Amino acid sequence: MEQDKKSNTWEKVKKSLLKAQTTTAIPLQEEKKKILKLRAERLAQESQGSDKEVCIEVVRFTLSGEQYAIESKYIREVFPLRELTPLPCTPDFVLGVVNVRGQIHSIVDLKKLFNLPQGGENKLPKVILLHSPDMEFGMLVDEITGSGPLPIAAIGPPLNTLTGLQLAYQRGVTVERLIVLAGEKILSDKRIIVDEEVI
Amino acid sequence: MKWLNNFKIGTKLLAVFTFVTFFTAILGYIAVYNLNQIKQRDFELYQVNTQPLSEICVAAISFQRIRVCLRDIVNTHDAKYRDAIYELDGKINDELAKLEKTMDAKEVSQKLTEVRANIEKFNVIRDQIIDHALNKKDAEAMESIYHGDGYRLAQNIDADLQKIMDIKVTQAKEKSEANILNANTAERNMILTILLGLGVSLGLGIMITKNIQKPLKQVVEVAERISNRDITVDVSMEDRRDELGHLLRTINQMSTNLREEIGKVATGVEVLVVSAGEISASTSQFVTGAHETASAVSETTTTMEEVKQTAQLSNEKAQYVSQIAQKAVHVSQNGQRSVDETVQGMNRIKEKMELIAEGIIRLSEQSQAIGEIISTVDDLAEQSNLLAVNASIEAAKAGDQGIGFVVVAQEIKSMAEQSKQATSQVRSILNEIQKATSSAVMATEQGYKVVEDGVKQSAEAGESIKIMTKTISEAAQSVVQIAASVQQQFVGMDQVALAMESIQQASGQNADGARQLELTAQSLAEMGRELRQLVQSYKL
Repeated sequence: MEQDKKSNTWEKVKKSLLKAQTTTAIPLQEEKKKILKLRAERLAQESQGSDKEVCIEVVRFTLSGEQYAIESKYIREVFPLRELTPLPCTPDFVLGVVNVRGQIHSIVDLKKLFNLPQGGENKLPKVILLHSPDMEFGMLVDEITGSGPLPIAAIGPPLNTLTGLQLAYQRGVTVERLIVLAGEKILSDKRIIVDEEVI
Repeated sequence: MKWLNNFKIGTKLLAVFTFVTFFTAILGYIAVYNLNQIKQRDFELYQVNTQPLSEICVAAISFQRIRVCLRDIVNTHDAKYRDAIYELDGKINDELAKLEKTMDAKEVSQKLTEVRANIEKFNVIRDQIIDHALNKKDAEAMESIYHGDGYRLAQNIDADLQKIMDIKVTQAKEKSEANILNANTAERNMILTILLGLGVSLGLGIMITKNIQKPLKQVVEVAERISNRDITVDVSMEDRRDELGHLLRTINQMSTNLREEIGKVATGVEVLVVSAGEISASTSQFVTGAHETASAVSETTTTMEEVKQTAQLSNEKAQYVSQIAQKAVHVSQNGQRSVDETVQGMNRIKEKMELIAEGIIRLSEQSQAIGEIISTVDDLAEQSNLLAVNASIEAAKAGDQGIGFVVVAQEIKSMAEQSKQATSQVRSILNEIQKATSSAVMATEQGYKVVEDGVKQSAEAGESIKIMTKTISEAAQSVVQIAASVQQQFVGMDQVALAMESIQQASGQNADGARQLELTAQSLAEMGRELRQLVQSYKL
């Protein structure tokens, strides 16, 4: 009996291993084609939908678990935060500077600005590099969740409950509780320009 | 007569008998002497007087026959008569020679000489007559015979022979008379001697008898009194040194001793009576004890029988145990082999476990590597995502011309997301794998330890089983010895049972004997009482 049981368990183990192999294995050519076809169809539908309404192109991201979005035209690029060099004698929302292909950009911590709780995501934070003709800096976010068009009609008025910079930088909130930031306001805000001298 | 008392009875009797014998010898001698004399004379009477008479007669007859023969010759002229005459001649000569030997008297021998001379003369004449007769001169012969010298000579010879016969008869008569005289003398002497001997013997006999009888009577009286259980006797006795004196003294001593001893016997009899009583009581107890012993022995015999049966059972059990011990030895040897194999198996398991541990460690390392690879892939997906975002941003900047690029960017983004999902799935699977691996590592470690322990324990078990095998072998040997012992015990039990039977018989006999002893003790007590009565009946 004991041996039967053991052999049964071994049989189970072997079966599950086989199953795992099949699941983790690279899908067959036909399946790949199937998936690609489905995806193409979906994308085609979305593009059809976006034609009907006026959309803005946004990049979505998260901050302390909340969904944010910002218009793509204010973004130069996104990249993961690596080799941050802290800067002395700066306000606490300025984390430091990074070197992106030979250019030095300062990094601002939005959580500090928005008085959001620190921590949350453990993963490597991402940087959204905002730019305007006279301003360019990196904005630290938890996660880039994606980019895509967002109908302007979907953007509702800002939440009245928000105060301070959050309210100042806000463009509106969608029904999916996506807070759409106003890039031009952030870029043009003088409060984040640091001009201090240290004797 | 006092001196006589000092001689022993034997001496006295010997003296009397010696005396009597002496007298008898004297008497005998006288008798024998006289008888011898008489016998001598009688012999002489016959030899000298009676025998010659017959010889004389024979000679006379022969002579007469010669004369007859002469006449016959004359008458017949036959020569055969001459031979007869010569024969008769010889006979006469023989008889005369015999006669001559017994001659004792001078007169007789003189006559005999005359006779011989006459016979010589006659013979001459006779021969002439024979010649005449043979020559047929009958007349001359007859003349010579009836007349003449021949006739004369014949007459003389006859007369002489008669004379001799007379002399002999006379002599015989004389001798006979002398014999009678002699016998008479002897008779007288013997009577005298006998009378004398009788008198002396009688006197001596009476004297000695009296001497013996008187004290003997005393002794008899004393003995009678003693026989009547009166031992108060004290014999007043004379001073005697013979056997009777000794006897009297001895009897005196005996009565004294008897008094003392009967006194002691009386005491002893008292003791005997008491002791016999005690013995009787003890014997009764002994009888009871013997009965108890007999019953106890009987019980013991029964018990012995049971013990014997038990011993038999033990014997069988011991045999059985011996067989089992043999089996146990086999089993333990098998067990030892099995344990050896187990030790080898455990060692193999250990090796396998080491292999498994190595494999699992490699697996965990590789899963670690996979984790790193996944991180890398994750990172790549992230970067792809960002790249897609950047691409879409760039596409948006490009305006309408960038729309297709937007699609590509979307596609890239979705791929990045998918790969991210896949990696997250892989990661979760890997997490599971890592958990499983770490638990497998731990399990392997524990298993390795367990296997090591198992190796150690199986080695110990092997040692234990080896010791156990040895012990069981020893136990088996012991059991065999036990079986042998039990066998001997069983045999011993048999012997004991036999002995117990003998004891039972003996105890039965003992009980019988005790009963007899009891009876004997009672009779002893009875006898003691009788003895006491007997002793009391003595006058002391």
